[in-house]
Amino acid sequence: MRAEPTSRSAAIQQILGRHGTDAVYVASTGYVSRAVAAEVGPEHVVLYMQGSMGLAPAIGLGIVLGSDRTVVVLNGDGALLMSLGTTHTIRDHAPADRFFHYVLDNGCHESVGGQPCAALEQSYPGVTAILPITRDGKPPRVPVSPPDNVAQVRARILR
Amino acid sequence: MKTVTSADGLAQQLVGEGYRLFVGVPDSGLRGFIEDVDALDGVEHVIATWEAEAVAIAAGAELAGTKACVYLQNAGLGHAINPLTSLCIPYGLTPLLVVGHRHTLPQHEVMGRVDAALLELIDYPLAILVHGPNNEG
Repeated sequence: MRAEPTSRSAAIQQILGRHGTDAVYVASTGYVSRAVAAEVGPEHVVLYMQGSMGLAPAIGLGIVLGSDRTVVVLNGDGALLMSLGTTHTIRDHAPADRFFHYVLDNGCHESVGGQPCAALEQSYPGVTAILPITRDGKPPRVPVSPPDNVAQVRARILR
Repeated sequence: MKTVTSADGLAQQLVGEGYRLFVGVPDSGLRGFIEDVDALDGVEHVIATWEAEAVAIAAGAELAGTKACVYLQNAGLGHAINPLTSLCIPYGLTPLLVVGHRHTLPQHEVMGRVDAALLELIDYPLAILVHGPNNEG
């Protein structure tokens, strides 16, 4: 039985509350990155993957394999489906105690016009939880450039 | 970009240069290289489901300060182009690509003509094209 949808911001706050400010967060492209940027505080470190739809979990896997940090990926349902095979690579290679992968499921490609995407299954390997969310519209742009974003994340990882 | 005729000894050389994560999609022309990678001590080796995933895993490792190498057949460059152009280059995370070159069979002819030019066109800074005996049909 699938949970009732919450607001997008409530789902993101739930994830941020669960994993705190020590984790490195990776946010998927489009509205997911924008929405995460609108919810985090200055103490959170987030890599905003603004291109490369579908590949946020793979970037997170690379970070967790290349460091000793905890990594939390915030993905979308369409992006999950785009590189679904990555869930199996995560299952086989990610350390389960410090890699977490959440899917915000609004049933559509909201960032590019709300076109429907295929409905998700109840669960997948390599996915911590699927959080049904409502379609809450366009958040403001991510307020950091890719090079500055990389520098921020690197400082957190290497500190 | 560099072109070599054999990947013999390349895995060991890359470890000497500090590479610690190897991720890719297997290619028959790179079989020996992949066996060498598997035999290395103290490195992480991940076989990815497709080349875009491999590039993104390597970019994440580079972000975390771990030098990373992606191996793939040139056919997989098509899959890799999106993360190379929308992740690696704009974010300054440029893992080494080791690309098995093929060009003889019909399905390899077009990419076999343009693989090097494609990497030059997007100005990707770090790649080794491996031309080997894997083109005999």
